[in-house]
Amino acid sequence: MKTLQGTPDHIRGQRIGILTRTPKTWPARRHYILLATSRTAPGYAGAILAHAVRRAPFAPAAVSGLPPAALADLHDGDILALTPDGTVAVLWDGAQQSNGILMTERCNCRCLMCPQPPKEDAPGLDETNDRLLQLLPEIRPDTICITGGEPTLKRTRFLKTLDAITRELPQAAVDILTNGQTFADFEFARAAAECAPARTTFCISLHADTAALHNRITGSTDGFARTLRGIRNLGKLGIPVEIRFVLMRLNHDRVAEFARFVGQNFPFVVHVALMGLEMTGKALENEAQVWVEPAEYAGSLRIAIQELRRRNVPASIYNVPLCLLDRRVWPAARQSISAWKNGYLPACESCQGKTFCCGVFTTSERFSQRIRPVDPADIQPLQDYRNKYINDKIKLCGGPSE
Amino acid sequence: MRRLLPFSFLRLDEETVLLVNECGDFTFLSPDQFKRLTGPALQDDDELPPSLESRHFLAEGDLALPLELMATKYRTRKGFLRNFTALHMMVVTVRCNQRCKYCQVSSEDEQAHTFDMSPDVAQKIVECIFQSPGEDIKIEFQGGEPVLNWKAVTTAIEYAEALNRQHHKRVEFVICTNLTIIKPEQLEYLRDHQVAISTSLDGPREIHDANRRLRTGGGTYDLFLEHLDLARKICGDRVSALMTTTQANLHALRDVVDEYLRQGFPGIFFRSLNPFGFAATDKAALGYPPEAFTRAFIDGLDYILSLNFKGTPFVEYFTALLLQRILTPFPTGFVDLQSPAGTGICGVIYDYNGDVYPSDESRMLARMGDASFRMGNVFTNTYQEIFLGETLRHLVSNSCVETLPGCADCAYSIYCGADPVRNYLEVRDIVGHRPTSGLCRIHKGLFNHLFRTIRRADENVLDLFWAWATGRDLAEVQA
Repeated sequence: MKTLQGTPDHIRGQRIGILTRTPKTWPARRHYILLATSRTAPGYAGAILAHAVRRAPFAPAAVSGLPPAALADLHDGDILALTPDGTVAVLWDGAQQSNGILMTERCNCRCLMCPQPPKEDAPGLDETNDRLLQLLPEIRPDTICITGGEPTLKRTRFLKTLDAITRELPQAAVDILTNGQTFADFEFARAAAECAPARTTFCISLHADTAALHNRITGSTDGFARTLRGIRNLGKLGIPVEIRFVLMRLNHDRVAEFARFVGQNFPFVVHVALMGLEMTGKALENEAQVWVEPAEYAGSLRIAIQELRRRNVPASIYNVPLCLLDRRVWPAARQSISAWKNGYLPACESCQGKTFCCGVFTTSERFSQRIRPVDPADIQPLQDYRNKYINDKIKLCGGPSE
Repeated sequence: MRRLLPFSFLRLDEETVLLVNECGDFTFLSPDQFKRLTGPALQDDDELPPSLESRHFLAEGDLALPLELMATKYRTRKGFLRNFTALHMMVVTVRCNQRCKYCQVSSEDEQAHTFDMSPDVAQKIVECIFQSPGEDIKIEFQGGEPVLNWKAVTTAIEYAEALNRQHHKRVEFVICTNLTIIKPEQLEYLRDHQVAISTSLDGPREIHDANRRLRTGGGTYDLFLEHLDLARKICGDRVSALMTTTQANLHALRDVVDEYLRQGFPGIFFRSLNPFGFAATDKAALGYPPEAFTRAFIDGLDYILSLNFKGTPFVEYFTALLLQRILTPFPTGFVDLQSPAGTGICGVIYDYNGDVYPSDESRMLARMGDASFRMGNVFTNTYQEIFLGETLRHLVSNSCVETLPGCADCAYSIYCGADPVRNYLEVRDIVGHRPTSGLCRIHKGLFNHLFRTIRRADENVLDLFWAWATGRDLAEVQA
């Protein structure tokens, strides 16, 4: 999440609102944070001041002292949180597709490669999310992620959130990032299916085709059985399911067999994402079991994509740069890294493939040693592929709602 | 505790054991791995391939989950049962302008007209058809040459369309015609009612004319091509062709394939001949041992694969069907090779007088005096009496491969099926005798070949196999 640091002015508690540079009329103001150059007016949720001004009576809570470059990076329609210490947090970045509602930081798994290790929820998280749900109908986003930790741990709140989205934003494409274990309870799966808006995909993490390996990776005793039952229950309810597999040292040599397992047992899934590592958090702590040089699995990854393609299961590769992939699977590689943590290495300087490549996580602390510019001669087929499918979002972006 | 899940096996060659489980997953093991899997030290063996667990040959502790996954795949394979009888064949006449050497139906003696189906009978049959519980119905007109009893065909089609205005089923029509005596008005009618045309082409002229003759003498190849052209002009691409393999073309299947390509067909089905019921002399002239058919089939298939890799898409439909069964867990609708058998419960045939039979062979058996398999008559029996009667029940309950001797422990059984009427014709017993069953030997030969090919794992061949199994072009699978 993008954050900026400024000077607070009379901020009591968290002030959350939609950024606007255009003044709003009453009573809409209460949902907005005005970015003002001179004066502010009463009624706004908050204000961002280009420079400190004399405080008017009833002026909203404000943050000032942000450099112009930072201000330029905030867009109308972003949802910001102003905190008493002068931090401006971007809860919702209007320029991005992958904004999410963080339901909880707690999790029922302890994955070896977790980039955001579980912890207790910050106080006020539920209230923040309530406020977010209040504001989203104003900006009408196309896509919403529901994420965590494990978002379904707060069952009632989870269902209520889905319900609110269905009522206020029925057209939104919703991706729920979950390990699927709670859906082993068929009644809960049914309730979620009933509450969720029409364009919802349940994105379920599965990291092996065998119980022992998956449970070792996820730090759970029966996670594999519960996740598979969750997938099956959602399948029975006719709910779109996506499977997400993170490639790491422990499982990368099984990725082709994994693809076969998914295609054979869950042929109804709408998408499979095979994902590279974000080397931060637990992934870094467990480096010895987790880190693998992506170039090492280029061969088996190619076979995995082929197995899925043979079975007519849409598949994508996330977070692995083009130079580390077999060229034949480049059409499956996606621009998968959120803009705020997306970057390139010095080695990428002269590479002409950057526009097509996901690059690396700026949050990662370890990178492949084999990243290097791709052969320019190989770029044209990629451009041709993009042009050919320019209107076919599934083929370009992978998955129904990315 | 580690437990074996049920499977059958087969030594494919000296280095390979093929294992197939109850729901159709397969895997290959070396003889040594197989020995360890089935040996006393199973619990402590740490070096068995993990895919034995994910492909459901082993359960590691939890038994419930793999059984659930297997049950789903088994149920999926048997999905063809849900629609109950989908294919309804009507024999509208036994008269024909042709007299093909391998045909067992056509007749033109003085009695032949009495076997024409009257419009009243056709209507009554259609009424019975619409009592089928399934959403999908296919009505197929057969003969003799069905266009010679055009009134029965049009009555059936129009009555079915009228009834369907209330039933709202998905109804398809097919007519099996030699195309050599069809009139343009008839083709227009078929176009207007979206009737698919299934015709016969046995190969290039010399082969086709060797067996497919006019009743008045002479070959039918030129006449056929003329009418095929007309049929395509009027009916578009709703024309498909079948071939019958006899001694005339057994060793020339490549030429038959070339002929099909020349005539613009997208694929072929290498159909074997059922020589049963022929006089000994005819059998000698037309028939061939099962292994000869298998060898010719494999050679023809090799040729078709090479055509595909040279850029000419062309499918062998029986291979595509077997591959769909081997590679995917999805149901397939091929009536002649199902378990339980498709006789009656997938496809049924109605005779000129409204008698209902589970297959054409059983209908011909009745003509020859043995009506053991007659299910009933549309005039004198209710739908329940016909389709839920003892005759059909007895037939179907003795046609599940899991309970048939020879099939029960065959590695290929989950991909295969039973043909109880054929068994009865061959050995007077619907259970049949596998070692002498020609069909069993042919199917085993084909499965052996396909699995050896899959084992060799040539990527292009596998991509093509998958394209066929999933009904897509090779280019789409390889894109």
